[in-house]
Amino acid sequence: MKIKTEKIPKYWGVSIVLIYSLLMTVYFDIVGEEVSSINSGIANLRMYQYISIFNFFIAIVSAFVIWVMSSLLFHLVSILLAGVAEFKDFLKYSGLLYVFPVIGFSICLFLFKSVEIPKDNIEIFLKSNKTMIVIGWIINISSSLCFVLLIPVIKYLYKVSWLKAIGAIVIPIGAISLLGMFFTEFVL
Amino acid sequence: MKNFTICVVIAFVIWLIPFSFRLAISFEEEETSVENVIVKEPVKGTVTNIFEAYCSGNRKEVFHLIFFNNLKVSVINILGGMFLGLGTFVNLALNGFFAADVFSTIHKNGMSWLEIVEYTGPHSFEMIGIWISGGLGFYIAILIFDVMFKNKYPTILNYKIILISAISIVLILLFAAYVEAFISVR
Repeated sequence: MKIKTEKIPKYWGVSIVLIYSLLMTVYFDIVGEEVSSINSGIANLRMYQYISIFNFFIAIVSAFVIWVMSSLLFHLVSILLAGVAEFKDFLKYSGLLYVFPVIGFSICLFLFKSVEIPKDNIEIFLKSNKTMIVIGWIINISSSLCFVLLIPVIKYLYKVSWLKAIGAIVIPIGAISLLGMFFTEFVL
Repeated sequence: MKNFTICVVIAFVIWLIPFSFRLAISFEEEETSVENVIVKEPVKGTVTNIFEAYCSGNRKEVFHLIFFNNLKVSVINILGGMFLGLGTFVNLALNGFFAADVFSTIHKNGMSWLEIVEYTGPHSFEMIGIWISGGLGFYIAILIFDVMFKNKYPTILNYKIILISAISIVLILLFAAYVEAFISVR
């Protein structure tokens, strides 16, 4: 099987990631606003509003940064495992796969409309409410699907074995998880 | 070297904009600082900890707190370069905003702007270290961009610039913390 990368328009991946970043930011912004407006009066503070606007734009940009940097890590490990391909080509595919989180967050936005957040015990409510649990699962599965589908992309684009393609995804994610655990346990 | 200098200037501008913004606007109706809004009891802010150590006369603790707080900011600035400079940008912007917020709160509590400048001026060169660390973060981001899109890998000169500026940052922060803890604060 040969993947013809030149047939895919250059900006499709970027456009999908842009939609993803907007949906994700809007979703978390709506959830944050709902919680903060009930929880305390800080949402009315002007300074809080400035910081919220700043956070909103940073969240949009961070989605792009995470996409590019995670793709770079997968690309570097694929090269280490004797794969051969251009980073630009890989970026096209990894961007396209964000279509699953886009669908996921669209459903989450729709589902969240039906959730009524209580005034007390918000944290317990967010963890125990059935709709919120379903929303959590949708976000996790759609994001994981994006990574799982990168395995065949790496296999055919970099012309490596299935085992190496799995390794190219698992090694960076595993290393980052371990680093995260280390920092949480010993540094922070 | 030219790229690095430009990066440091950009870092300074990114720090300066929120700093000026925070000084220009006042939150009089709220009578509170960012630290009070975000940090709730019993967690204390860095400024409170330094002030308490200063009041108890423990100069070594003051030095320790100032140095490690500034070092933490600088390390975040440098490592932020790994996220294509986004981490550096956010940290510099917040640092500028918070610095002005502290000045603004002190001014609101009765100290004149001239007194604030006189008091903080002699040991404010630690900011140079923080701006250089911001510049270093952006420089690393540029190197990563080069690897990604130009297939251009870092040279020995790039590594030299990173190493020398990192050492310079630590030395500046050490010296500034020493001056602040043992000389200028009385």
